[in-house]
Amino acid sequence: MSLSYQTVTLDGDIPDRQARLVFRHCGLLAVLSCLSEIHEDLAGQWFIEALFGDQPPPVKQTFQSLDEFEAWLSQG
Amino acid sequence: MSANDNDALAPVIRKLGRLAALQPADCDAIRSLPFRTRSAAANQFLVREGDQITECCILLKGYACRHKTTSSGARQIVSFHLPGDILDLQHILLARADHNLQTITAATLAWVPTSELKRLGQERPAVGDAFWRDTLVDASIFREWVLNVGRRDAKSRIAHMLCEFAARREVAGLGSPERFELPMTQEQIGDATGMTSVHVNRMLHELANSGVIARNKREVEITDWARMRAIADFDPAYLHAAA
Repeated sequence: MSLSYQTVTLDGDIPDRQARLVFRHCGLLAVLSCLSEIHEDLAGQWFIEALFGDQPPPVKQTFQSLDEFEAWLSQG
Repeated sequence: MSANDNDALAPVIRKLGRLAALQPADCDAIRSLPFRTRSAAANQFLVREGDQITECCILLKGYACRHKTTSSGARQIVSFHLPGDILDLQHILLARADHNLQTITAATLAWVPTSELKRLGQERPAVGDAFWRDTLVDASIFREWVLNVGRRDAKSRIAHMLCEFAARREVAGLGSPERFELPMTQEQIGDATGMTSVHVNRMLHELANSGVIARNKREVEITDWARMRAIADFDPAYLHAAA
């Protein structure tokens, strides 16, 4: 699976503004945000803000790393 | 099975007394119901969808919820419950559970035969009225929750859930609506509001940053009720002063 990432900053008041747009075959597949310290134990993990495509909704919403996100995606 | 056990059913008598004008003889009839008292751990299932029910469950201490799950395992909490609530009054007339009942905290419960509650409601019209009104107020709360989950934004949903919990606690005599401890986890709040626990945490932070609540772990203080009500779009009329 070939994914590419673009670093973006999310608009709004939320503290989790550092984010990645995830592209697959030039189409936007997901928006992931990096969770800030307000989430305590989850800080630094990647959270699915939006997911496009036909994969089932994830049971797990946060991922330790982008590699873990890609591994979950490949299982779908 | 015991009866008249040191007024163990006092919480439900108080609740039904808010729903209809009970006479002393009505209260005595409730006290004389046969029931068994059981403790339950936090997160313990009390009833599972599909169970055949012969006893209704009254919450005497602690907190509980009703929920349903999709075939893939996603959970939607459809109501939270406080002491005094009959968790499944519908089983007087419906034999099969169509949703799950689960504790949120450690709890004490009274299990009453459905046939005895049905008989009580038929023999004591005021109690029967209270059962009816309890069911109707439940339905009113469900309608409000559909509106909350379906049409309010994330911050309003959380604010509304907090306002409702505070208002119901006060009506149930459990303490001030200004300051309380939330018994439910952020995941449970998320399952009740159709959000992830990450979104719940964000919204709680946003409400705190706005100055309408103050938080310390699960302790919540509503510091500005007027603004909180406005953010939540909260009008307690749907609780009918009884829930």
